[in-house]
Amino acid sequence: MPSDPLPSAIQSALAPHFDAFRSAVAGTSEQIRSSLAELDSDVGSRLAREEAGLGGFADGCIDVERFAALATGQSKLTAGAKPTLEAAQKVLMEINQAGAELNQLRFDGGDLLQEVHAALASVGRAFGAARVAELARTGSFRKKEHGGLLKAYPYPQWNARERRLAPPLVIHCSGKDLHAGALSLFLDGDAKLVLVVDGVCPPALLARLISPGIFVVQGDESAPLEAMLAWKGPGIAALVHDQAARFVHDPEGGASIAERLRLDFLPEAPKPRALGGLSAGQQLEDLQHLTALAGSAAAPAPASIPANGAASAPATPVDKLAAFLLARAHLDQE
Amino acid sequence: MSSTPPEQAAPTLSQEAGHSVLTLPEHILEVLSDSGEGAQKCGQSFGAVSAKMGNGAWTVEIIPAEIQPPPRTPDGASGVRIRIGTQKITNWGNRTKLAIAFNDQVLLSRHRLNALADDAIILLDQAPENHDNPQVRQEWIEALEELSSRNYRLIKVPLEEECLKIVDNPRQGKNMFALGMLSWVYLRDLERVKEQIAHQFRHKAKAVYERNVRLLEAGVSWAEQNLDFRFDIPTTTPDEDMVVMNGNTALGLGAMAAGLEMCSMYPITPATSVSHFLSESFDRLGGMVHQAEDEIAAIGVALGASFAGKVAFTVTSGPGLALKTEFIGLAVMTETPLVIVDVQRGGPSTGLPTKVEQSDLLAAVFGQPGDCPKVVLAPSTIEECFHCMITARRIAETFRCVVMVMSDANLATGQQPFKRPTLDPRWQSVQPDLSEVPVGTEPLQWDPETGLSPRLIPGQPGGMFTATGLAHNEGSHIRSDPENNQRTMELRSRKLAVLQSTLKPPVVVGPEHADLLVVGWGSTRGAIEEAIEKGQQEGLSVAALNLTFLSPLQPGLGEIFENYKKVMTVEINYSDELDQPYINAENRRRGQLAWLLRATTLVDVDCWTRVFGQPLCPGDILDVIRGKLAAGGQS
Repeated sequence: MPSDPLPSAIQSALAPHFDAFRSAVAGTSEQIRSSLAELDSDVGSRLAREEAGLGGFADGCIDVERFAALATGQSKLTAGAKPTLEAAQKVLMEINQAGAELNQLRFDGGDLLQEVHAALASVGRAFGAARVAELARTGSFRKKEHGGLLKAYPYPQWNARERRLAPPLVIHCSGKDLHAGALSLFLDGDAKLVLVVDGVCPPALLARLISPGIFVVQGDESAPLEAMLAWKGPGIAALVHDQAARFVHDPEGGASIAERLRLDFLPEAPKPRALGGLSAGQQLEDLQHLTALAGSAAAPAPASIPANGAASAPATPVDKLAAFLLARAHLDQE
Repeated sequence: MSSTPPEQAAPTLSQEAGHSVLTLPEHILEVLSDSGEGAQKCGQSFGAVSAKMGNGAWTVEIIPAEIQPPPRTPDGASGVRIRIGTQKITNWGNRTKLAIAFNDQVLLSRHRLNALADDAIILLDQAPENHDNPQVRQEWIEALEELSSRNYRLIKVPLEEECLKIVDNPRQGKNMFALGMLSWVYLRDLERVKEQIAHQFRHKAKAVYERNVRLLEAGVSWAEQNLDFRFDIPTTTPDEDMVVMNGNTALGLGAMAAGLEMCSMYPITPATSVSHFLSESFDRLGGMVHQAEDEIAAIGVALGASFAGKVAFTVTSGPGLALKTEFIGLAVMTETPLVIVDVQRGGPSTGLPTKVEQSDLLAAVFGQPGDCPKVVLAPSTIEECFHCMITARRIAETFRCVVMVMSDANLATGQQPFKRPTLDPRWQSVQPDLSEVPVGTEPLQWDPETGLSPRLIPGQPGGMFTATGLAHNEGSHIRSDPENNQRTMELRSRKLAVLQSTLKPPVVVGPEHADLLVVGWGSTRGAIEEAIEKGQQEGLSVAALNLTFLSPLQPGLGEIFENYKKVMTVEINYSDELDQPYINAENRRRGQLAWLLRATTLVDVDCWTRVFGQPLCPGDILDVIRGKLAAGGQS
């Protein structure tokens, strides 16, 4: 996935997350190496390993040979696991050798959703390899069922910890190709996406992704990427041209949109031309959406429903709908 | 009080610009203050810098029993003792040679405990002498009168006055000024001291660091202009990388190195700082610290996590251990691996929260209703606090059992340098087996010889079962028939015998045959072995034995004891003395290890124990050894 060099500010923001991922990959690789060594070893080195596993406190206190005789019966590692472990090891080494290119996608048009899926599935091979190694170590690897994990490990199958550990995906793209709303599918768990947008793009590109719980940043190179990357939840950032809107939606800012959304720059209405699969009208709607949210931000936070269940009169269509649904479900009463 | 320097063993004296520089193999100093004045921060910084410069070091915190005791009271004395030397230091030594006291009353507490050498140098803040309050002035006069019964060299220091030139509140400045004085007196590398200060205040604003450095430099400057002595404790450059930490940090690091993934605890002195340390870094390694609502919930969560396939541990102290009793029984009954760290303090009940004791041994080994076999380990150094967690986890998982790690308040807060551990992935290599369970496998499929059984995890296919604290069979189904109960008791107990079959006899320090063998466990090891070494230099026929496995005990103890005319334990727990009223050989209650050894070996093991709430001094142990041998080894 070749790409242009990232600006240094972005590189330094991403570095700790990428390093943590690589460190985990290296750690898993080391565990597999240890298992392979165990398979290749003779009795003497097995004892040495058992001795190490007991730690320095046991030195001189525990007869390692006797202890190993008790512990060995619990291991399910067999010679049959070797090819699988080697295959998993190969995948992890490939991923580590890929360096900073691993988490960068150059999108030149086409199906953005599909390409992001493919890029994440490729990164996910690291997790797939870890799972395969674990299955092999415990004697429960079945090639037909689990073999595919080494080729691609699709994002929907990642567990919470894997989503937290995965490095943010950097997507280089042209503004005219980008329909960012499609990316909402990937914004769950702790997933993080960073869009590096070339050229003109819809002015409120990420406005429709502003939701409670999602950290959204749109701005230039000085945008607060670190805060988005540190957020323990999904986040997306877009680095855009200087005529696009600049804003930060920080879910930790508070309970109300007024506390969460900070609008730094609001451009004029877009020129009447389609961009990123959005018509000029849709772009304008997005901009109006952002303006409306920013207007809400200036207004006081909506009052919460009183404890006695007597909700105040709904002010907005959304509040009216919520009140209607609550009433239908009898959830507005004790 | 004299004005001569203290007598030292094999000192060399040199002169330097108006100061004498006495080169010594080791020295003991204390920093004493009211609670909240930062004497411990000063002393621990000094200890850490000394260790980093290549001195052997051992620090012991002097902590008042109350969180915020009244100021200017002997009982409220807070501080730290630091023993530094050219060679490795394993204990806090005997009497203090130099003390910095922030007021006369805290100094009195150490004087009354006979903690100060007769010729100690004392640097005492002179502020109370001219205090506005006449009662304070009177107390000062009386304190100096009482102190004059010894040959101390007392030097008045305008500590408060000098600090007020830099800070508004001298309570927040005296400790760094004192650190400056100590740094000058002991020829410490000031750049290292500043690095240590920067580390200590890393979470504070830069101005805080800068203010503390000004105080440090003021202390150095004052000492240079006003003191006529310096001590050089030569440093050595170790061949290998060293680290400096206290025992609680070492336990936390050891837990991480061992791959333990969950620490569930409830705050209790002196164990809490294990979780403080872990909460700063555990989650970055995939671990989790859970502070439960109480001690019972804490072990319940740890036990549940272990049952679910994680490797969990809990950390507590005596009163918490008492509350965990029922869950410990459940862990033993369900054969769920669990590591329990007990950082012992003075007891019984809430006892002496901040003071050291070794009084939980029998509670750890026997303290649950019903037969409740457990493994009990005792680290004896701060380095062992790190490594024992790895062994504890390995045993707990291999034997599906509870492993108790018995640390204490002395190890918990004391700092000592030791060889930097080289992390080994094999410490973490035991992964829970999550493969599908073959049909017909029982959750407690005991090996009839060893009592061991493979561990099932509820989440693995076919691995779900109902654990129960009621008597049960292989299938974890409730059974109350006599044969089943007898057999399952045997199998749970057998595991300890099987573990013991893998243990080697302990190694004696000193002659294989002698008049007296002194046996200890835990943090007293350094003091005992130092006393033995000095006794041997005096020609005494004595040896030492430290036990790290207390349940099961290492094999061959009876045979070892046969080689000595007399065997005695030295412990920090209570025992009766035969010269006390009503006490005789039949009703005498003995030290806890002595009880255990007598019951196990049928040897007439004697004991000497103290519950002063402080570590034992090697000199006191040596006095006991001399007395014991002079009396022909009789109690």
